[in-house]
Amino acid sequence: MNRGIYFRDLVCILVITALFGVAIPYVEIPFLESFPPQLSNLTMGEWVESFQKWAIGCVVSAGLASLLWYGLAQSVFKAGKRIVWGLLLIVVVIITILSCFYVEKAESSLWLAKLFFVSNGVVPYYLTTLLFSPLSFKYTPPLAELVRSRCPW
Amino acid sequence: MGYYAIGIGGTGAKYIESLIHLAAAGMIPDDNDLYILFVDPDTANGCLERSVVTLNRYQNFNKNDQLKQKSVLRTKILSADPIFWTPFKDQARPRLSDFFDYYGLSGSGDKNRVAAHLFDVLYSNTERSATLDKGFRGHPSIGASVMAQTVALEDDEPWATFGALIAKDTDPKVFLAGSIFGGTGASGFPTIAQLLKNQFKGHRDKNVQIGGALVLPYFTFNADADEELKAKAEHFLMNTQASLKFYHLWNKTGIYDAIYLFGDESRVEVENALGGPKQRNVPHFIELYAALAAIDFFLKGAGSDDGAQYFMTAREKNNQLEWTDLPNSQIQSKIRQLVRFAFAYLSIYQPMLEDIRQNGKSYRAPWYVDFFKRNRISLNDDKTQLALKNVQDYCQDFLLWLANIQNSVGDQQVGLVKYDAYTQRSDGDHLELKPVDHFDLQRFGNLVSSGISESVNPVNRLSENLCLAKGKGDGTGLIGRFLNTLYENCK
Repeated sequence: MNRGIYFRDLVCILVITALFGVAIPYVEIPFLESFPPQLSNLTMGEWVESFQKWAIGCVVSAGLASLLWYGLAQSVFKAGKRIVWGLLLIVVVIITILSCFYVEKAESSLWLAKLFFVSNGVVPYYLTTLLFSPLSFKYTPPLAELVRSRCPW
Repeated sequence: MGYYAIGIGGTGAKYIESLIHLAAAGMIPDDNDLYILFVDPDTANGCLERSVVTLNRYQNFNKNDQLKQKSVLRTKILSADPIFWTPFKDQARPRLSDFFDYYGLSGSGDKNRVAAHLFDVLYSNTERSATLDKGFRGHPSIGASVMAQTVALEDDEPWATFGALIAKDTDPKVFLAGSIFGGTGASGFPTIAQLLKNQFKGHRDKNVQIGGALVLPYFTFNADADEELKAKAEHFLMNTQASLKFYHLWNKTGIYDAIYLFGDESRVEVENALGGPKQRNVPHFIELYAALAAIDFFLKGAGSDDGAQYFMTAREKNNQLEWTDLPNSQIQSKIRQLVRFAFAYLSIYQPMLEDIRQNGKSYRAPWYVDFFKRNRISLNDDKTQLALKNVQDYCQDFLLWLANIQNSVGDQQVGLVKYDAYTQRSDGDHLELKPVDHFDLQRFGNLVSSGISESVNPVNRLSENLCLAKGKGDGTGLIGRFLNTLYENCK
């Protein structure tokens, strides 16, 4: 029975992470194109390419961090380990911050891009671990006691 | 219908101890109530004391409202009040001569003097003058006369309550157990059964069924130079032979509906103690057989023959004991479940509850959040602490009992439980529980072999299943729901 749960959790983590990845070309970039940043030395196409690269980096790091958390919690740790969950969050936050710094510079409207970087990194990590941490660690992410207990799984 | 268990003497007390643990594992048929009574003139006997402690721990668990549920320790065990019966209630140092007023008889009229002379013929001077506060000193002839004289089913407590309960019961089953080779058991076994049968002989609508387990010699001790009147191991076989002849002749009296006989060829050595607290022999698997006999009798009742049924069972190899040698198809799975429950509770769940009580961080234990926090059970509440302590006490008692059952057999090979996962040797070479942080969790899955290999770490799986339950469990007690879920997942 529990193997089915592991499989379900991993699939859900991948699906949620993938949804954030899919949102980059279909939601975020059109949105950015609606509110284009002021660019001086590069074209919009070049800037979007740079944004997309870093945005995907954020999503991938969030997905890997979620899977790593699941794997470690399931097979290495015994209970709790909020500190490990927090360290992985810090890794994701660092990648998000790096994305904000290293994305091609624009003269204005970069706040929207930064918001998307956060939503591509921190949000999927928190969401997937909040909803699909291993059973024995289901309340480790902050506020999970409020949210996870209301989930039907 | 109720079940009535009477443990006579030290072996009888240990049979009750085993029966309580089997009741805890859910082996009492139909979950009927079990009424327990100890019979022993030696009220300070160490075996009796340990059984009474076990009974108290069981009852503390079973009666606690917060722990109420329908799986572990669910059988209601009632005990007599007073919990044991002794023929010498008010006498500090009773003697046979005082008991029958021997000196009064000797000094009075002719008729009484004849009785005194008969007394002289039946009992030696040593037997007449020995103090009996530590039992009948391996002399059933003393015990039989004292018991026949003192057991009063209608007037004297706890017999009066015992008799009243049986009188109210439509189909009572009474099971007695004691040793055949000592003093108290050998004398009480036929005497008490006969008194019970006589008491209810006239009741047409009542079918009081009486069964019994007679335990043949299974321990020995070194002889000492002490000339004092006491049980002597070298007399055990002779006593047993004489008793068996007696029971053979007694068969047609219809007192017992079923008799179970047990013994062990390889006798374990125990401390030579006259009685009292020093007589504290560790549990032995023969007592487990006696308890299983009681369960068998409760289940099947009397046979159709006029005489008693005599049962026989045997081990496959005489120097080995495996689960398959025990005459009950459920025992392995039931004991396995209770062992895992007790082991997990003591080594994983109780320490975590204590840690959370002291340090908080309840997210570490989702089962705690689901079963305790959401139900607003405060770990600092005295009632909660008492309830958890009741569980702890019983679990410790059970694990140690089971370890001793396996350990008590000298050079025989017993493959029941891997008790070294949770016990260690004390300075006196007795088994004691390890500190809980030294319990070997790696061996949790194989404490009692199930024959099924577990591919997933069973400790993790247990924890996951508890988290999966989301605080739902069968039971009226708030902590009971948690215990029920834990127990059901320890199968």
